Amino acid sequence: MKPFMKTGLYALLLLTLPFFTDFAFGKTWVRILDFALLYVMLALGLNIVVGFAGLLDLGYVAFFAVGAYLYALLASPHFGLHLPFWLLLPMGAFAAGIFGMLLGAPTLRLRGDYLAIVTLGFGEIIRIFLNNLNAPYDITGGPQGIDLIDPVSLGQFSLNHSVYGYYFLFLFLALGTAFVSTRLQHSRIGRAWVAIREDEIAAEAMGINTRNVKLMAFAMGASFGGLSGGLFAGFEGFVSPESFSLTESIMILCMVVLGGMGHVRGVIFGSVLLSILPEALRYVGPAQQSVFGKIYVDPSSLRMLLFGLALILVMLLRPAGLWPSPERRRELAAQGETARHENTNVYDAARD
Amino acid sequence: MKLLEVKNLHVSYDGIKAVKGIDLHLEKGEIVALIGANGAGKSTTLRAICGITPMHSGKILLEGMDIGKIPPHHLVKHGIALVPEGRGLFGRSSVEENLLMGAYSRRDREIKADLEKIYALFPRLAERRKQASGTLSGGEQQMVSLGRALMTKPRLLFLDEPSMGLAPIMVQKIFEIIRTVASGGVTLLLVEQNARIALSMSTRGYVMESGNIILSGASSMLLDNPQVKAAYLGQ
Repeated sequence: MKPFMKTGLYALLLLTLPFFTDFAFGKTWVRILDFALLYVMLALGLNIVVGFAGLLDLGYVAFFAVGAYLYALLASPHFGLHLPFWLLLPMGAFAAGIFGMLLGAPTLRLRGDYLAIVTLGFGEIIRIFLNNLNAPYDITGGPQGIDLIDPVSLGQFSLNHSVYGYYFLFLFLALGTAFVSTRLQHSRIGRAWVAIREDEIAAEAMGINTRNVKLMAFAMGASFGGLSGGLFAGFEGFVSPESFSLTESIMILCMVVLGGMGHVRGVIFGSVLLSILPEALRYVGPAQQSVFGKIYVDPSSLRMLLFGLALILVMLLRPAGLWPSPERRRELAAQGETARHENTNVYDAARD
Repeated sequence: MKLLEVKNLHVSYDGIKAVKGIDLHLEKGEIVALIGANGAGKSTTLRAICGITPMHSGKILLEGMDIGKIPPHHLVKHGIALVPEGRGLFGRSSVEENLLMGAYSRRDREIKADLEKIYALFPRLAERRKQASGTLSGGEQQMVSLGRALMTKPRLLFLDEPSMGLAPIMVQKIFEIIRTVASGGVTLLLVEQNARIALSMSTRGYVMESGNIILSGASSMLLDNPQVKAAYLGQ
């Protein structure tokens, strides 16, 4: 098949997907698709930090929260402000980027588990702030959050709460973030990220300013999160601190790792899969009913159990992720090959 | 003027005085060996000169210019390259990607031509240019690290334990290549535990022990020195 035909086919599939989904499973599932696309953007952002630059971030959801609250505060009756979305989305991305640098700056010398703990703390700080900034002045609405947020709209035309409208908006932006991710990966800064991930001292010796490059990774990743946050606020019409818990950070991290760290297509696959799987597992209740005529295990507990089991199995059977980049697959499969090369080398060295 | 001059260098980290006031220098075109036992402070000295470990006090001069305060990523622009201890490869990247990272700070048009020169110097890397560098043998990895450092077009090259973890036959091969590099006009500072091979190919040497330089002089002289023989050559 010619490449443009293939692209055309994919485009057609993506554009008609919500209609088929609605027809087959109902509107709820179109909404799940919308969320899947939102997670694609989030996971692609986290992938910059974790996958490209190798900096483990467990508080990523904080940037999502920054974007969401910025949108909520400036486009709701809460302060009586109603700024347009095309201004709020870039603002959210920018604000989150600043927060990314705020997190990055004090953690420059940290790596691995130490970095993970600090970022985890950062995520919690943001959430707790949001939860408590309702007294003495009500800024964030506290645990009740902010309601009646303006939907995404342009002039007279409003998406209201149409799952279709948001699907196309999210699809467009998710493809955009995927494109930006791919371009970043192959850019000069992308190569610098790989270098600091693999060996920081050598990277420095090559002339890479490791401090700036790391801050850049935090800022870029965070701005993707901020963008998705704004979209989330407009889509849901309601934000509260509950949506930005540690579990959410871990979920996004799972999407990146499970899909294939550092591989844009893998990460997209991982995030779609992990946003759909927990929803699909809701059907274990009805499934038991139809097979055994009775519900033996409570579906809500079984759902997370099966989900956890699926994660463990994937990590055991495909440690590089479900769809890793070719480099990563090679690395994890190379044990035997390396040994063979070592042997031929001893021979080669003796020969020359 | 001396290419590199280190004066009264003190380095401490984690509360340990690792380098206690050493002086050393390199003339243009020299191969200088810095030898000593494990923990003598050799690598710390090198890392301090490169700005990776901050120095406590002292002066580091490159052709008379104080480079002590220059951040490590700027040194490459002054013609200083490092082959780090343990090779420091970008393991998941291919051989060619690693070599091209050496040209990260360069903006000239010679990069492609220089890459071919590296392949001419290391034919085996040319065969494996698409292979992930982490899957190469130790000797090949050392070649990549050396080639990558050469891609920065250095005039001063620091080698941190190039013989570490290599089979004896590979050590011979790597040092042959290092000699070729030096004959191309690059000044070398060689930090090594393998005193015999380091002294046999260098012009001058320094011997370090617990943070001090205890001996220095022409390598041929050090090779004959009874103290060096007893402590480092096992004779």
